[in-house]
Amino acid sequence: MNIIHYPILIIILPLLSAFLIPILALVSKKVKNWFFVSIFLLIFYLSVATFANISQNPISYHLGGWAPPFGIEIYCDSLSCFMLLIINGLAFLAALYSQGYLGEKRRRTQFYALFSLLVVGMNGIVLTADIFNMYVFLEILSISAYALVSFYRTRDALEASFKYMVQGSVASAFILLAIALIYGEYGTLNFFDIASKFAISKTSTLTLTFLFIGLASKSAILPLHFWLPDAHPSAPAPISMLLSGIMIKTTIYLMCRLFLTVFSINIVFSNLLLILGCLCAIVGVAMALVQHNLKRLLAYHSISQIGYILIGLGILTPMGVSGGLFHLLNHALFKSLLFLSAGALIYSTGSQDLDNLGGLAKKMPYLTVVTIIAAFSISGIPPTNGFVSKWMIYVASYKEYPIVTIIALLVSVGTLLSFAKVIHSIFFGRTNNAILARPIPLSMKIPMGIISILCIGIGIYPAPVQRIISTAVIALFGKSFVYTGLGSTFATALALSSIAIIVVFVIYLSTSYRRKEIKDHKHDTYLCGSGNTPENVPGSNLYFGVLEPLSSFYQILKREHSGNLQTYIFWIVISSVAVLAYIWRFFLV
Amino acid sequence: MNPDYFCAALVFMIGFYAVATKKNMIKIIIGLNLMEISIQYFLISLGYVKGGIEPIVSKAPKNMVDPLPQALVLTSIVIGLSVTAFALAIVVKLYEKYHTLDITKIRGLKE
Repeated sequence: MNIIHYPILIIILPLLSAFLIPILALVSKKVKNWFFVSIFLLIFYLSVATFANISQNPISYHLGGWAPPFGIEIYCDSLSCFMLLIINGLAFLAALYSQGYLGEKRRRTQFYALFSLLVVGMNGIVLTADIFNMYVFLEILSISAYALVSFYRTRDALEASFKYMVQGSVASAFILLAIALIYGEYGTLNFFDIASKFAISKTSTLTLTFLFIGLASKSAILPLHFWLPDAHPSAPAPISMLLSGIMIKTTIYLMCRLFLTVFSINIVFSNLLLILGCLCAIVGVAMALVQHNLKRLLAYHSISQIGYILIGLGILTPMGVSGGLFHLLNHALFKSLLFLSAGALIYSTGSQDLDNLGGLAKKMPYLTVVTIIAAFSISGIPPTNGFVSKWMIYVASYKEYPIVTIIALLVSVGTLLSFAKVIHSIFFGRTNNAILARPIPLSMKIPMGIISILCIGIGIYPAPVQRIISTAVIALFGKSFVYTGLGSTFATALALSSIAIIVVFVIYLSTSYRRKEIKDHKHDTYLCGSGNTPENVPGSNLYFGVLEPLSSFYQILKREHSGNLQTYIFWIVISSVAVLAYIWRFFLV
Repeated sequence: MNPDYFCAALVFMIGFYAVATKKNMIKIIIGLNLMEISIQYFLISLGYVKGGIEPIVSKAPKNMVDPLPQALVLTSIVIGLSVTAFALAIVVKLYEKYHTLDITKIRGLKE
């Protein structure tokens, strides 16, 4: 088949599966499950094939044969392909994982249909070049996400779904209003047509504000992030993975596409992203430090890692943008891995509360290793992928904004602190509760294994991924935006830190044979020699001493994260006014 | 200013006010609907031509109403309908669990 038809197939096939699966369910359970997994494998293959054949010529596909600007255009360049690879690769792994995770639960058919619609929305968003079509795909994505968040129909899931729905609908209304204003002013909906006609005026400042607030709210940028820590933990684990790992990034992709190539307001966009990125990074990690529900903790980390992506994109140098996109890929990988291992933990023990768990390292060695790899990646410890992208962001920001570099470094320390707590309280620390650990099925282990190999592999040998990213950056900014590579300092840093880790490991191995001789109980890990009275330090008060001096800061944070919907809507109003004032002042005063 | 645009802006404000201040979940959903409807009204009035005829090119290429906003509005009505249906279903389920429609009383998730 001609390569030009691949992008539309990538959108159509999951849509087909969403409506075919309920019919197949009438035939046989096995057929339904196999169809579900294999269709996502097929879509992943199509994305890889598109990527392999696209080179420098973007695919422009006219739906129904109507030429733009009247018809809908599907546009696929290297940047879209980069996103497609992430989305469909992870969607396939999530589909595989859900086979084991859902177990014998009923309502599988609904899950499959909604899952497919979620993927339709994400693929559509990254492929479309029509602004109203973008809105339609965004709504397909959002509605299926609302439904999947409430999938378990528990009290928390329903509450989270309602609050997410209200905030998401306000954001959608803002986006639709911006689209109406664009159509009213320029009489077109095609991205390229808008780009050729766009000019700054009083109306267009309003348009930009509504569009920015709408998209920022959908991608959970502070202070419009309140729905995320409610919604993501309530969903089933494979869905949390897709929501946190990819969904919030498709809207970041849209922001880049719209504000950088369609409206070309680079300086305003860059300043907004830098400020909001720093805020996201700080507040996300600060809130994560005090969580004791594992999935909620991971959701707050999503906010702080989104901050890194925004900082990288906001620097607007070739190195910075590449770092941002690289971190986007890396965050998709390690956050997916973290949510999958949280899901495996829930599947196996039935609990996700850090205060109740402990000592699982001996019972679940596979899960422990996988989680530690993911925790190292998210904290940016070499030789994992998180280190590479964070290094690029540090280097890129240091020349112009040293304060941003310092914030980014501090947030990394906070991330590591928070994950030390997770690993301590789940896998190594002691607990007095008896924990029953169910074995994890192979269909859950394989996706986790693949992602953790990718995390380490990209960290050790990032060159191929960097080539993909540099083509994506060229698609965004043109050929003059040449990306020069990591430079020699990166190799030195990677080598030094890897040597340090290997040395520590060798020392550990060389002394471990002696440790076995000592039978005394008090030398066990995390006992600190206290012997017969093992002290149970639960996750929530591990950092009491560190957090106590910051109590007034935490009081403000807790007052805002009150669970009150009206506070959340109020923040949308405040940030709209602030962004409007900023854009107005920049362009018109 | 065009009276249609003014009305649309007014309805949008009323809807947003309802979402931001009302505690009853049904009223919040009504507010969301008002916001959507006002934008649809705005889109329709964008394409309106005074004394224009139906957009069939073979009849009269000039002086016709812009057909595109009507197509957009149809799509957006369908989307609005599905969001509303879903939201009402969630409210029913929430009422079964909490026996209240007051969103400020439903605050299990915080911090």
